[in-house]
Amino acid sequence: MTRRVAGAALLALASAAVLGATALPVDTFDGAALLAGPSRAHPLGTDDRGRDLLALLAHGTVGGLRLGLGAALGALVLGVPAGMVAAAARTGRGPGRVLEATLVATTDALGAVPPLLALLVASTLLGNTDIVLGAVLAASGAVSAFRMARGAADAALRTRWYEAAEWSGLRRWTLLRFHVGPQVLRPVLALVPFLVTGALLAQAGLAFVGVGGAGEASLGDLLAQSVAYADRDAWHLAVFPGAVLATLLLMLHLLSDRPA
Amino acid sequence: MDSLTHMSSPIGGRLLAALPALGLLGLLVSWGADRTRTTPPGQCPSPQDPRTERQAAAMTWEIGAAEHLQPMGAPPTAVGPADWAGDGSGRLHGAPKDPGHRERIVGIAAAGDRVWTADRSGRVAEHGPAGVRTVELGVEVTALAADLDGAWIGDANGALHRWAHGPPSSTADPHRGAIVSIAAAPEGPVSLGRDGTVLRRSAVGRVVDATGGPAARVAACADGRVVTARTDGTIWLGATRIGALDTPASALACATRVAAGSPTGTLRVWETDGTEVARRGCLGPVRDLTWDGERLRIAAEPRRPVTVAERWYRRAAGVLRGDLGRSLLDGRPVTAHLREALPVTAAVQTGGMGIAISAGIALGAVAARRPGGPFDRAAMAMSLVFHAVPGFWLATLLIAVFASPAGLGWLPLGGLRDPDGAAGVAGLPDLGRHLVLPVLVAAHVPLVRVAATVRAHLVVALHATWAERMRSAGLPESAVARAALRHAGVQLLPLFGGMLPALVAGGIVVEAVFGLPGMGRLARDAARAGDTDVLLVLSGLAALLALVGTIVADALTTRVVDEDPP
Repeated sequence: MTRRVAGAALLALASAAVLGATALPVDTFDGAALLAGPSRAHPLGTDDRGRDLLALLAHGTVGGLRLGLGAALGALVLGVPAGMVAAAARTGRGPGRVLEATLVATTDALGAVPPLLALLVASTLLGNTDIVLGAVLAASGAVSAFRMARGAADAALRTRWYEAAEWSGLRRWTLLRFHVGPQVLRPVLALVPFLVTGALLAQAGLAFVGVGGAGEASLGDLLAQSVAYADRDAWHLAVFPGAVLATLLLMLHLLSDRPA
Repeated sequence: MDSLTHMSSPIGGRLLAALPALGLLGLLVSWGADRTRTTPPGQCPSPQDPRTERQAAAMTWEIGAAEHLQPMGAPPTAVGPADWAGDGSGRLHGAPKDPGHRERIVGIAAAGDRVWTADRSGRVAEHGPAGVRTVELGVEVTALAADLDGAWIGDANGALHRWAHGPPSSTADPHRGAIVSIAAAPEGPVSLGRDGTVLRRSAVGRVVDATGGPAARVAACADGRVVTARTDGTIWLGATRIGALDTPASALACATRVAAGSPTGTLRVWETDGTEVARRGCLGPVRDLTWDGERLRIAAEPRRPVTVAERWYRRAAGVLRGDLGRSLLDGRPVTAHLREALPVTAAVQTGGMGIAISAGIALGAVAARRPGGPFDRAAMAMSLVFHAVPGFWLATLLIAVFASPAGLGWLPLGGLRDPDGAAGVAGLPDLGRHLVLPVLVAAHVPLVRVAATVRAHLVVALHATWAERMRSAGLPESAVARAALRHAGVQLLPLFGGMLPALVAGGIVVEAVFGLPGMGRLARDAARAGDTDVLLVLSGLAALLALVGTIVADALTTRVVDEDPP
């Protein structure tokens, strides 16, 4: 029930953001109203360059969700097949065991680097683009996807019905795809909100710290502005983007099966 | 079955897996570090570029043929024919007998079967078939040239000395300032003063050169003509311009061709009609040039490209020696930065962890007593909201409420200490006040995780068969609760292990809000400045901590579980 409500709310928020982003241009600068509070012209106020906060929020939300969904998709594409192969290889002998050990070691190593630090390093070395951020987030998310897929596939491989399917003489790939795949997909899909949450938080954190595309429409950048102008009366810069971000995160948490 | 299919020893296996992974990570970062230091095509990387290595060596270079390096141990300052080269400390390489130079070799000049060498202190030596003769001029020598009769020596006062058959004699009418360069032309020496004036002396008398413009170097060609390198970078043969460097020449030589070297490490060679024959870059400052028959000898430090593997090897060797590199930002060792930053982050993160553990266990335990009860529901809803709030937003809200003068103003806005507060032990309360809000923010995510983990496992444990058995055996509920708590507590160990890397990366965002000089700030500043040495060390350290955390958590869990089978 809660999940359904959360999903619906998320969908509504996302479509409102997409609508807002298409309808409201983000690159109009109102020089007469810098850091202005809510008014008739700017329902939520403006930022330090006189851009409309509502438009910024819409664009920032769309950008964040796009990055998060892209990263989650990348993580699944990278992690799930690898996890299934690792689980299948584990029952084999010789080269299969080596393959499994290599895959596990690789993911352990990837998982050892804190994502935010990896993002800092990558954005420094490779440039701060959505592609780079998405790739790093996908790689770090792939670790979770791999572990979860490996666990689920491993459980499926030990079931009686899998044994029965094996006896029917089907090819190994067919077995993996049609008999193990669906069992893996369910828990892995539950991971998606979790991955999107991580991506949103990381992007906002980076922008907040001032490493991620400063000046672009992102929720983290707006929150960073709110700190920079803490001495001015710019409460709207802290409250609205923070509320949008927190709502997004809360809905995503509710959507994911994981307890907190 | 399960223990067999897992890697035989989790600890050993993880170590084995982690070492190449750490290596790969380092390789990636150093590769990336190279990419960020790109050089425009056709230009040499800057002398500080780690992708090249300067070699203390004089070079012989035949145009169109391979170059030959003569290792020196120190940068060469002068070269002469037949592999003679001198360095800054007076060592003379290639000479059959040591003439006893003690200071920088200023010049090596050859004519006929004799070679003259001079050092800065005024000691001049003539190496002939009969042996070595030396003389002390008693003045600072700055330039040297030779013809078949003897040597021309220029000093720092501008006087030109002649050392031929008898004792050295000095010529009249000196330059204003030191003599920079001398060319031994057949009709008489041509000398160049620091002020750029060129004096030609001959049997007829003294002539001030009229080619115009101050000069940087002079040299005489085999046919007797004089080449002048002017301070605007142009090179003149007599009155014809034959080419130009982009800086004033620091070395000039002429045989049948003209060669000029720049202080920025380029070398160009022209025919006497001005067509360029050859060009070479990627040198250190060119100090001296000599034609040795066909071959050009160069006193400069050639630079050699260093491969990624070699750099990586050096970096690894440095790490083993305890040298983690230097920060690009201020040139200080990375270890010094770590020594300053680590205690700050350690204090904040361990404080946060302490709060998270104590409050989390208490919350989880109370919530688990009646799962689904009002307290449980309220606590879980609260923690959900708490978890959804990004740390930096929580931090700004806390600042606005507790620290901002517009709010309650109880706590400082940020930083580590009051600028005019007491130092040492007396400053501890002040330090504590500064750390209250950062510690609270650091606690907020682990608190939720600890509470959720404890609650989930306690609920299971309290209703497990063994718990029911304990109750039916008449044990008091407190004993059951203690056992169940112990059971749930084990599940926290991997959680703590996984949080060890927070010592490096945990503060990236929070420290930015509170302006704390910790590891997170270090990482952020390094990322903003492209300070790859610092970033490399930080990522390596984070990975290492993650590894240690997992190993320790594994070991502890195994131990506790072995001691107390459920």
